[in-house]
Amino acid sequence: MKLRFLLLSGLLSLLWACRAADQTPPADPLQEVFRKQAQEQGLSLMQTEGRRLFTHYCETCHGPAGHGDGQNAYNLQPSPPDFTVSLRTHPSLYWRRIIEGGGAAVGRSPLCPPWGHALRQHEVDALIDYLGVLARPATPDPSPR
Amino acid sequence: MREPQLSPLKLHAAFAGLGLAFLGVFAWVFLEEYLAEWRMWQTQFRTLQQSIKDPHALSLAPPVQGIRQIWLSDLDRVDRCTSCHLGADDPDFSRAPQPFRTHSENWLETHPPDRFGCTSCHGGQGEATTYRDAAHQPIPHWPEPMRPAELMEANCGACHRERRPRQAHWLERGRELIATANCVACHDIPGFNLEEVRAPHLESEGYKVRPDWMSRWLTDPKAHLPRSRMPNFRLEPAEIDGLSAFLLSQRSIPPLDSSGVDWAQADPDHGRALFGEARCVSCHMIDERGGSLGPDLSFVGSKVQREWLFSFLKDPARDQPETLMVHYRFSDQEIRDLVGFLTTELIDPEAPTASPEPGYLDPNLVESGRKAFVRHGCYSCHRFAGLMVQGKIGPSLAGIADRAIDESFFHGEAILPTLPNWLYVKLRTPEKLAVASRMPTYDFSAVDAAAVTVALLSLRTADLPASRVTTELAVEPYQPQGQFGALVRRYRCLSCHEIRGFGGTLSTVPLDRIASQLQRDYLEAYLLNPGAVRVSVEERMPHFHMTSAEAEALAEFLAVTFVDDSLEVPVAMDREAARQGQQLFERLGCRACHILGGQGGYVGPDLSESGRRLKPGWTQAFLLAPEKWKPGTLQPDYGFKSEEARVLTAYLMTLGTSAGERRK
Repeated sequence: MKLRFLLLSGLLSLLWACRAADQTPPADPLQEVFRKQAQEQGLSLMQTEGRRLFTHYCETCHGPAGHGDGQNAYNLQPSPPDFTVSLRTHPSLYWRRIIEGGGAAVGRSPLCPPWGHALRQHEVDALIDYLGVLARPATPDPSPR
Repeated sequence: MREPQLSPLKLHAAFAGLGLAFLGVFAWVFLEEYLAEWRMWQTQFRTLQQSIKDPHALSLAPPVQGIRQIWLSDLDRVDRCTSCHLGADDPDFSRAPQPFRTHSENWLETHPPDRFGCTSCHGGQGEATTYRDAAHQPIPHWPEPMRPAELMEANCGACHRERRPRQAHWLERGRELIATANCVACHDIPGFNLEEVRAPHLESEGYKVRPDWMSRWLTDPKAHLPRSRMPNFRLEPAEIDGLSAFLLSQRSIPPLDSSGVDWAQADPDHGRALFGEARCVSCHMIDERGGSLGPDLSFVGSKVQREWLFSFLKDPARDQPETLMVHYRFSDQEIRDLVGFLTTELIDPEAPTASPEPGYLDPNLVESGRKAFVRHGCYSCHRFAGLMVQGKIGPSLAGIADRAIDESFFHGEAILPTLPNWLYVKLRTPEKLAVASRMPTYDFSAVDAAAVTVALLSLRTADLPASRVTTELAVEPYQPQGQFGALVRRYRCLSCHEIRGFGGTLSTVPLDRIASQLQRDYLEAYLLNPGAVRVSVEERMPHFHMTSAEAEALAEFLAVTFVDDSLEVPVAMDREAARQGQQLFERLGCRACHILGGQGGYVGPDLSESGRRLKPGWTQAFLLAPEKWKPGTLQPDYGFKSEEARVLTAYLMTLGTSAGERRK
């Protein structure tokens, strides 16, 4: 009697284990979209906000990927720098001074205007965070879709 | 019956056993409490605190002891998350491991925890004090698991009910898509109005379209025009025949008479020139270029009948009373040439040349089409005078975020049975989840379907206290009367411009104070011949061909009504001020963005005519606080002193005037 019970329960647990091993985890399609999107852009939430601000305020002169090739760039003398190179030579505090006070604030061209009044502190933070992405060596083009 | 006799020895043994068991239970309870997860974390935190903070700061830090909780009585929430997330509000812990790390970004400043708690944004089970029970990962029977960052935007949306909430990109995109996809036509959706639904009237469809186009269109609208708002209803061939016949038999308003038009004389080249000059591309797309306010015209020549198009351009509101389309003042000859251009050059290469048999003559087919029209709820978007229908065809989506979901909703698909997944799959492939679903296929991309899912997940059942909710101000429809009203309707100003918050947003210039910004004479001249103030902007005001009397009447009404008295202040301007202004203008490098005298950038408006265009009070006020007047403007706020704004204004007011000519 006892033996039969043990045998039965053993068989049942074996079956259960087989069933569990057989099952592939179910698909999670929505999370998959988010995951893919994050992977493609490689941007944090803050960098995404920074990209939005960059596209809105800066892209027209600095170009979609910061190469200094925006549609308005050819009007500018001196022309805007290629961020992907020049950003790496200065600390982020320097970028902050340019963003907030304009090029004139650090003795560069006044053609880059100051945004310190229009942008809030955390928006400047986000922008700087995104500039860090642009300055990353050999980035895939992070311009918006 | 004999009472069972227990020997004293057995009784003592039983008591001893019971006593031991109670002792064991007590010990277990105390041990469990003593070894609680949160206590362990707090011990670790105290050690970490000692290594991160200096002794002075440490002596000032509040003691870490016992369960901490935030009670939000109005939301009926108790959050104990801070029992373990001990460094969330302390910037010193920005590099600490979880659960002690400082909260990211500035969210705790904008949403202080003592007012918002944790779970109102993050989801999860706030009362729990273990990792598992707090639903950091989905757990069975807890409907509110913690949300990943993107889905958390759905929780933002529960309070932030504006159409375009800031810093919630998925939510914003989702709400925009809900509006443009006309979802509210079939579903009640809080925050969206039936008035927003846009679709053509079909009562005169028989005069409008070519019979062969109709069946191709019904088969798959987006294969025909990818940006079409109309979804694919997955119709059977028989239904398509019936619907075509039914729609082609609709002939309530005949087009205006065009029998006198000599079509052989139509000059497509002149038509093309008119098409460009009238700025039709501001609203209509051709070959992937142009605006999206009106339909894509790439293949319009294979769609519409020549006579109907002639009539439509002559009076667009005749059979489409709610159209956004401008009523241009074209001559018959100009319309003929335009129609010639549209119908001969914008042709679908795949369209068959031979027209099929006109099925609309068969009354049985027409009747079956009428039934299909009702069955598929076509009337939801296309208002149809002949049909009396009550209620919406789809279920209400109010509270959809609290719908309970299980495996049975997925019809055997191997998908994690959560509500977000169900909404997502339903949006992308409605036919997969329910066999006879009437919901059409929208061809949402994966990203768009995810965005709509986020927006839908913000529709909770429980109503929040009003103090917790932010909404846009309700907008009253603005319906101007009299001569001005007639002109506003004719030229459809409100398709692009806003007045008192009502109208389109294609133009970035609301008209509420336009006559305080621009000089009256300039306004009148601009209405007659709208040039490009911003060269790089594609979507420009159309050339209406309005009469000078109309332009004068419009300008006059604008000048006396659409003013802001706070801008109508005198600005002291003299030669000296203008000279200083010019110096400042050059020093700041304004030409980086503005054209002046043929030189400069394309970002801001051309300033060459400022003295004839702008009003000084506005110019000064705008220079002082650009963000106040145009949020998000690209005009930088230089933080001018009022004197600097005054001299710059004085300089700008000389440009384009005789005084300015002398200065140049």
